[in-house]
Amino acid sequence: MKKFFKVFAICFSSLLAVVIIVAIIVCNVIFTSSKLTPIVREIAEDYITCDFELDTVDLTFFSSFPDFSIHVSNLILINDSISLDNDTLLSVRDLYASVNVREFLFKDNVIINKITLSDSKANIFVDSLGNANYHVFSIASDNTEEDTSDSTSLTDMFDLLDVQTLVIDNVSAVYVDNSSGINLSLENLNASVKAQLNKADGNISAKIDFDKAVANYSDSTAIYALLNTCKFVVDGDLKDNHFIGNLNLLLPNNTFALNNDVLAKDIALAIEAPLEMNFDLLMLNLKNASLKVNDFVVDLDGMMQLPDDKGNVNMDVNFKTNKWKLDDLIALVPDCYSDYVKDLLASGTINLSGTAKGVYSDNSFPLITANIILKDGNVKYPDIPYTLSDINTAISADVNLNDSAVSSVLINYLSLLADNISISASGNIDDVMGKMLCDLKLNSSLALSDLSPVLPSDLPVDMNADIKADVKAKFALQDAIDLKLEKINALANIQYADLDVVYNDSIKVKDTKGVIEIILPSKSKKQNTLFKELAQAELKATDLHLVADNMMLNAKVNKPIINIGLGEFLDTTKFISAICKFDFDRLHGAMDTISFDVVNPVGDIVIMPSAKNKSNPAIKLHYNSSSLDMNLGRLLAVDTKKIIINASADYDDKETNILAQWNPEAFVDFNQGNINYSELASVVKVPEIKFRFRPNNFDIEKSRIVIDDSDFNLSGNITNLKNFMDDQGLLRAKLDFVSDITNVDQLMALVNGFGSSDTAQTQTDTAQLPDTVDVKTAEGDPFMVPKGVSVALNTSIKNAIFNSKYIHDVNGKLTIRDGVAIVEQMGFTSDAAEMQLTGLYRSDRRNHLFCGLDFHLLKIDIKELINLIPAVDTIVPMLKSFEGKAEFHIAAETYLNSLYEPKMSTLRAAAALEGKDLVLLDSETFSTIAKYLMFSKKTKNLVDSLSVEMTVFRNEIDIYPFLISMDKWQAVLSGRHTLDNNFNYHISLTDCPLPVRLGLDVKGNFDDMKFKLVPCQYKALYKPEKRKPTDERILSLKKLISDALKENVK
Amino acid sequence: MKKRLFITLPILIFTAILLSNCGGDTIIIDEDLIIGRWKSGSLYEVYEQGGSGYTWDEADDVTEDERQQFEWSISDNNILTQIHLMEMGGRIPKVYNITQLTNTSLVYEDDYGVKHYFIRVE
Repeated sequence: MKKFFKVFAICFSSLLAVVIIVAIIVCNVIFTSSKLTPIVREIAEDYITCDFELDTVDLTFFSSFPDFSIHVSNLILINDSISLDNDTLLSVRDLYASVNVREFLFKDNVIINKITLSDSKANIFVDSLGNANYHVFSIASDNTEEDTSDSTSLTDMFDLLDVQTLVIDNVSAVYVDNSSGINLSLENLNASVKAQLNKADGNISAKIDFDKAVANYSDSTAIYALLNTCKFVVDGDLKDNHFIGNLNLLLPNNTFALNNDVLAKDIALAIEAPLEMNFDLLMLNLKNASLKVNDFVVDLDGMMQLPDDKGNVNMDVNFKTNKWKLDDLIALVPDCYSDYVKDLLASGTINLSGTAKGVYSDNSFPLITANIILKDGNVKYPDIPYTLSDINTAISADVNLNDSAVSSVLINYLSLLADNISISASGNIDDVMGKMLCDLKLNSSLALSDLSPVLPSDLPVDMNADIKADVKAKFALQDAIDLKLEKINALANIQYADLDVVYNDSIKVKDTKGVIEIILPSKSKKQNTLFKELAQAELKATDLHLVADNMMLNAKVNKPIINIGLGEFLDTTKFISAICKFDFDRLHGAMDTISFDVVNPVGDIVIMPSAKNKSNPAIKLHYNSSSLDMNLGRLLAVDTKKIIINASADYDDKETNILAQWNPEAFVDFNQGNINYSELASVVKVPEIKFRFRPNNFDIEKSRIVIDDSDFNLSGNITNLKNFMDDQGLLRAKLDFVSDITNVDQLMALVNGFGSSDTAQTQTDTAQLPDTVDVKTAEGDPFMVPKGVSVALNTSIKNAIFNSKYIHDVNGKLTIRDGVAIVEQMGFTSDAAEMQLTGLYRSDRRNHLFCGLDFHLLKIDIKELINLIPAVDTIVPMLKSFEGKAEFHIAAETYLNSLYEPKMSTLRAAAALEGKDLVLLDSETFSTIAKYLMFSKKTKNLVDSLSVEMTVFRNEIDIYPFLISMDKWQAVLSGRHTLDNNFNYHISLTDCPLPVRLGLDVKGNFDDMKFKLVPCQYKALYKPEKRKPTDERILSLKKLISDALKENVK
Repeated sequence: MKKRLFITLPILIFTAILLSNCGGDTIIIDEDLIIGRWKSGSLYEVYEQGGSGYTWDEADDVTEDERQQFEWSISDNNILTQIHLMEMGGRIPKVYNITQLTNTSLVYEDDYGVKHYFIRVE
């Protein structure tokens, strides 16, 4: 054995020596550089079409043991076929190509299995036409042919290559492609690649590094990349087409830019990836692969199939990040976008994890699930009025790009603090890639003052309250953005406590606690028949206190419930629809001098588009309250029990007057009302009243009014309101005044002085008068009868008190028509008479007021007549000398000045008195007259008949001759007296027992009465056969007066 | 004495009769002259053809537009009758004796001796 080893050692040593000797001989004797260089140059000329240079070619063995290597020194390829600044395509200081000795020795093939390049430089250029300077290799297919140009195939040349090892040392390269705008440069590239691949088995080990790589792409989009100090290592084994190995890529300093915008600067990239690749299945398995950008790590685990024939990529990859710091993430934001985040301060950590599972192809995407966990987040940004802190959230997302409808996001929880506002939320969002169907819950607690940062800074409001808000909502995001309330389900419950809001230091709202509930869709939408109700809001307060200093309003509302229903409000072609229902236990307060106290006001007010024009509003109101007590300072006090108001208004913007514009309709029903008006001496009691107001009608359906002793029912209607408002017609009213008892004295005293504010015509009063005329200055404020109205008041009063007298069955009409007030043939009876009155009052102007009456008293007791109308005594002073029943007719008119003083020049009156069986009362005057006329007085001087006509013209009162028959005596009286009580009477004794017919003049005044016997002036007046024309004229005038007076007696 | 009385008494009676006859003479007037506008202080009267007329008194702050109507007639040569028409339906007759009617002046007098003097105005 020992010998064997000795023989083997000797043989091996000898063989080794022979090989060495042969190698030395081959390298230094046979293939010397001087011999080999021309051979290689000659061969190279066959393969290289451009100019080239090389210094020497020698064969090495020991330095490349166990292979022989051909060493080419200073190889330079020069291609000047394309214009270049630098025509050197390639320069290699040392090129070693190892030759497979076995193939060379036994198969006569020169197979190169290792190439080593040292200190090389390459300049690769493609011009704008696509001509490249690297097409310089060719192998002639036929040596006889001299065509060594591009017709040769490079493939032939590379058939000589079976490179298993490639070593590159210090290579710099420049690649310029003007046709595609690519410019690459590479500095100090070092690589060592070893690979032994034999069909399904083999191994590979590669290490590549370079100092610097710069890439520019300057086509439509400019891309720039700078990679510094790259290290790339991959190694592994291939067995049965199953590769197992590792891949490491380290790029510690990189910069990327797009269109001159630096997207990333000095970022570090690293990949550590254990690899498993099944080439049969084209499946890549990643186990604990790590992708790292700076400190952001993404761990990948799973498998991915390379595209199959149809381009399908099947994958099942899990990914998971380490804790990403928000502030570091923000630091990655490119400079070009830094303005957006320059003031953003954010901290916290984010963890992402998830999977991508499924097939990726042209029409398919894998299902992606992702989980995001944010912890301890803090965000501060100037545009966000709050500092967000303690942000914690966990969000899961399932993204299916194949069917977006099933993509969803689940917010497991979200909590944060916005300053002092606590917000928490949860929920899920389905169809994330499409409609984004949200189902969210939000809870928040805050102090109301915390909302001030989101309010306009110049809004003068100070708000304080503790708020708790719970919101549940289901909606599609676009519906929420578009505020399509009908498609949103939401319930918001907002509870407040210690509410104290002050606006502009003047409007203050306070409440101890309350609840505001907002509901979408409205719960009461089925009950709302007026419009489609979308949203509902309800306020339940406790003791709402409202103060408005500028309106001097101070109101308290006990336990109010306000329910607001909201219809479509985004459609700008329609007016908004809304309903507000209110129910208060009590509303009381004060506004300026107005105080009010309403018990249990309940109702609703609706605003909605008008049926005629949807852009105009229509309003409906239903209101009732148990009682109302309102005071307007000391001026007016109103209290009622139950009130019902149903009202509506329909706006028409084409109309001009306010009544036609709004078309208001109202029905009002209240009872047990009391109205205490300071200018009225008495309280007006309204036990009940129902009235209905329409645009053109005001109907008092029923009413009962009590004022002192008066108790009456007023009903009827007022019409033609629209035309009246348009100045196209009179305001017409027909009212029935029905009463069992009415005290006219009290009512007149009640309204005395009304209308004193009208000053409209003051300036015109004296405008037409000459300056020289001494006109009494009018200073009064008389009642001006409204113009443009026509009011008819039909009265039916069973018992009336007028001038302290009872009158009965007052039936007639009081009319006010366009500035004229008329009492039209008002009939009534009293203990003293049956009466009929027609009166007229017309206020042409303030200092020119017409007053007229046509008054008929039938069966009047003369004494009562004077009591009833004291002015009669002025007109007919002698009347008080009679006693008994008479018939009295008077028509009188005059114009009055503003102080209601008669203008004497306009005074006109005519009166007629007829009586029978009267008693002429004894008096000093009568005694004197009897003495002069020598007729005997009796205890009771009966006057058989009396028929007196009299006129008043200016200040003259003319008593037309009338006959007095008394026993056997007949006398005719006539005369005149003036309103200054001077008189001039004549008495003609026309029939008497005496033989002579005496006449007596009575002149003077009541203080200085003068009697004088004169001839009998009317001795033939009542004796037709003896009458003179003068007498006939007198009688015709008397008839004229009398007939005219009696024309109007019913 | 008696002789003087017998001489002077007839003279006085004759004179008285003569004077009384003179005073009671009825003047002859031209009725048409009354047509027109007459003024007495601040009082105006207007007589129109056809027997209508109107009156107003500026002293009472009444303008012509606010006048009051009357009907007038002249009978027995100088008896002026005015029937003042009331809006309320009454009639107020006033009867005067015209004592002077010229182009420029109008004087009438009622039975109680109250005289009214007017001058014509445009």
